[in-house]
Amino acid sequence: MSNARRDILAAVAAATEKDPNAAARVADRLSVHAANVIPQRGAEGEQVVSRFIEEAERAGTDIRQVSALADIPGVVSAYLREQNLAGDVRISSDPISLNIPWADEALIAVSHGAAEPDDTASLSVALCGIAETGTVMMKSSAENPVLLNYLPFLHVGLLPQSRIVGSLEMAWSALRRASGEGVMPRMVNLITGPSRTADIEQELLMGAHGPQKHMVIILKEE
Amino acid sequence: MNQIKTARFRENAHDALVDKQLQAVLGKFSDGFPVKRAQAIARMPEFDALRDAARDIKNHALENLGAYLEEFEAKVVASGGKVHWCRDAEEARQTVLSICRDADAKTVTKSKSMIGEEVGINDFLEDNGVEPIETDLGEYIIQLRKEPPSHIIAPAIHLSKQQVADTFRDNHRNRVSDRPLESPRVMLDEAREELRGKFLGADVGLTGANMLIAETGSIVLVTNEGNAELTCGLPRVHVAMASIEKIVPTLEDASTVLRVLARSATGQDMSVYTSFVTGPRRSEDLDGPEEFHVVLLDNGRTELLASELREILRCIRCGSCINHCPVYEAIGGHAYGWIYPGPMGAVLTPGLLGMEVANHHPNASTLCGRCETVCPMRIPLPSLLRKWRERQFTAGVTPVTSRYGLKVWAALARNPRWYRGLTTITSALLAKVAGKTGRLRRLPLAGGWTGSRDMPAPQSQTFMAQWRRRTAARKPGSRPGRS
Repeated sequence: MSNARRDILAAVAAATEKDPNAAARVADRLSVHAANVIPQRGAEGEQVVSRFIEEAERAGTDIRQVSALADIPGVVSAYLREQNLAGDVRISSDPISLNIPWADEALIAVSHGAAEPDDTASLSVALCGIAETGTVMMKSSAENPVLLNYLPFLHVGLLPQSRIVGSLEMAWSALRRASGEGVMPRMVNLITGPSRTADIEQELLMGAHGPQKHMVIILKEE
Repeated sequence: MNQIKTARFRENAHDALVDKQLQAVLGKFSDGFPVKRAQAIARMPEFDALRDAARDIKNHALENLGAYLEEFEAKVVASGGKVHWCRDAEEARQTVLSICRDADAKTVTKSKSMIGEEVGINDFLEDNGVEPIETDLGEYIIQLRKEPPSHIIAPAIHLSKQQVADTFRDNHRNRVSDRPLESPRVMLDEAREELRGKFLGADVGLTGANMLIAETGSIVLVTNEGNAELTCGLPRVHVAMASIEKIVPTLEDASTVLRVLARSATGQDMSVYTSFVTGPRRSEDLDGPEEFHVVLLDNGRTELLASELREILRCIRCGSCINHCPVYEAIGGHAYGWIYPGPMGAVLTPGLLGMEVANHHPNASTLCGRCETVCPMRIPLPSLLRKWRERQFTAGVTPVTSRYGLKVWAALARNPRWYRGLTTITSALLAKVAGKTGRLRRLPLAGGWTGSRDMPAPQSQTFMAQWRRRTAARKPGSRPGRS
């Protein structure tokens, strides 16, 4: 297929302008990461937390706010009871989630590792919360495997409040700081609410292939 | 390959108009997407500025396409993936099949891909002993029914829930045959259960890509169901199919496009899942595929790039032009005879299949311009349709009657005296025939037009005649048009 590569690139070259500065322009664009238009609702400032909550709830995310890690087991346990779900939760091995004191919550059985098909609930740690759309950014890693966000019935994103930013562009900056310039993890998942479909007669239904429920716990102190 | 029935457009459209079931479904169409889009945009005052920015990004990417494609490939390779360049549909099919064979694949899960539809990958894999399973609910339904999609983002929008229920009853044979299947909720849960096992058992996951990012070598997947992540996250091999114009330079550029994509498509601010996939699983990862392939397809794009139709390559497949098209609303997607319906389809289809194969498409429009008004990428769809019409005329593809009619009109238009004389006689005649009602129920040579509506009769005198009278009544020496 190397002929295909050559032919396609030749056809592209023939169809586009020959500009001696093009290479430099392209290199520049790729390294500068210039933002284009950032809407007002993606602005940074104190309001990002309240905006994140408002937008996430609009998208169908259940928001809980806790002031300390110790409050999380109680919140998760209450939610599982509310939803009539079994009390097993698969927890990511992120340093933050590893420090949650689950032992105090007798009703919850905790496990770790990659998601299994029959998992009821999972909890993984978000890299960012994006206020403009109420989205969490999940970065794949050995600690936060991807399928925790997709296979279980309920996915809980744990979001330290200090990680809430205004816009998607700010989240990319955070990712570049976390992973290194030009280094992408295998997956970056932006998640905005529980899974849904409207493929049968345009009727919107929550709970398609991904989680039927999506909860974000905002943690005030890290 | 999805059977191409574009040449039957007239017959298809006629059948669609008298299909009561289809008309009932289409009747609900304009209450859905267009309303939701308008609501989302009302919440985004910068929407027009975002559209300008999105258009500029794509124009820049297309003008520098070669450099960005090479950069993209280098980044995919650096992250452990592989890029397969394919000139046409056949090369793409063979490439995907050979990856499946290398993986010893029996089943392939698929998340929705218009490129997959374009090259007809499902039929091809099936013919070669590999079972493809669509996982997007709409695509799953039409795959069971062996139908092409009727809409690029809502592939089963032409079906009623009763038809979906019947389809499930016919195909999910291991279930109790008289189970209740009235509500979409129950049907969704059944499909979810059926597909769970398929996700887990598949050897290869085949996805499309909403964008390719040159900066990072990532592909972007946008869904609401979460099926794309299960498709590319569970099997051992992930193959993404994308055409070359999907490229954008940076993550920031992708962000701008995302801000207009979901709002234009479903009226969401953001689709539920947007994933940036870069390479196969890392050595320390606990999940993810071991292989990551990108099938990069030309299939006519470089020709469009070189032509005056280049602007269609900005299309991000949001479906907004389709959602606002009165022609689509009247006949649905299947009438177009292939996989891309509506205004974007009418421009793209002749570009990909050839002008002769899809000769009706550019003409099935009044050029009302709603599509251009709503296009997030500011593609001048009516002008592009007009360009196809010019090409058709030049190439002699335009039907003889139209050519003859146009020639007569051109001759008249170049001879003002004849033109005026004829219009004076005709309008007087039509007014007389119409009588007091002022409407004409039937017109010679225009039975198709008057078959479903009346023609308002002209106001007895032509504009030119009225203008002459008006200026004659004024003071001599004053010029018409000035007060």
